[in-house]
Amino acid sequence: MKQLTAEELATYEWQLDVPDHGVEGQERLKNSTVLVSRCGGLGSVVAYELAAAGVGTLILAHAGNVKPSDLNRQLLMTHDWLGKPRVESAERRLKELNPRLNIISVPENINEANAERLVGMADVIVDAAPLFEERFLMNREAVKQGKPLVDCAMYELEAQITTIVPGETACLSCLYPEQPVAWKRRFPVFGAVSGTIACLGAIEAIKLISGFGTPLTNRLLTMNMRTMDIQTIGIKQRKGCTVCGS
Amino acid sequence: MDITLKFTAQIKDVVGKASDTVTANDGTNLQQLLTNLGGIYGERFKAILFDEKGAYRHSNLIVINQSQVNYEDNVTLADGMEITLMSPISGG
Ligand SMILES: [Zn+2]
Repeated sequence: MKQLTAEELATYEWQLDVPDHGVEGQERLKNSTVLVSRCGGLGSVVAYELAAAGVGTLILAHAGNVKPSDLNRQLLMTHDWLGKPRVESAERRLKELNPRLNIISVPENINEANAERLVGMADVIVDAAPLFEERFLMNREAVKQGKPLVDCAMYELEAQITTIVPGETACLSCLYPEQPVAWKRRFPVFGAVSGTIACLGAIEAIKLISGFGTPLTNRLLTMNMRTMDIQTIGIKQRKGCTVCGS
Repeated sequence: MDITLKFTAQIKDVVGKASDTVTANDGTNLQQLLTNLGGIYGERFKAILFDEKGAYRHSNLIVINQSQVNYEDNVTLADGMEITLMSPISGG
């Protein structure tokens, strides 16, 4: 395991004081790889917080070029990068914050051809894709490969998050055994809503890697930011789940 | 008896409000209630919860007392119960 340099010890000084984290936890972050898919309103902020916290390697999967309508929430995309690849914009912004960060940019969304390989390269997956097809693929590969997956999602002023640990918890297909029929690709969103749930996703990933705290396993945290009602719902494995069931 | 309902995401959108209170006969179970709600909230609501053959779409979560319950468990309802119907979300 690579040790912290003097520069890193200085950079992370304030978070090294977090009980149960310390130098050992920080070294685990440095030596870890997290897959973030995609880097939209949610994934951008997940990646930014993980870069700030000192995760060593980020795999960023996101297709397409920056569009004007990305800029209300996709905080790694900037006006001067309109029309150019999103992953390049994300990489540039993350490197400004943390030049030590190793980034594996994949200008593709998660699909049947890349899911197994990209999940295989990661220690933890943070799932922030806008389509259930992509989420189900990451869930399937995470369960197959025994990798923890933090699933974060939002809609309008609502948001939710759960942490899936294969063998211990319900998986995404336990929660949603059938293709959801009412979900539409375009959803109402403020960046502050996607960014809020993104920060929770980032701290779940940090906890899993460093090894402190209690993850959101078998619990779905839901937030209604219109009313600021927050609750944690007990969820359970589904008998006969086609992904994680025996 | 009175049942408090809460709705999220697309279910909330088709109902037009985030919560409601309905009256049900004593002994009503979850499956009966959900079928009856189709009559109150209309076809678009029904199409989210049930497929063309009337089978429940299990990707809609049912939450009672902060715990997920399965449609098949078909719990018997009690006065004052709060039931949340959540349609799946995937926004990123
Ligand atoms: Zn499962």
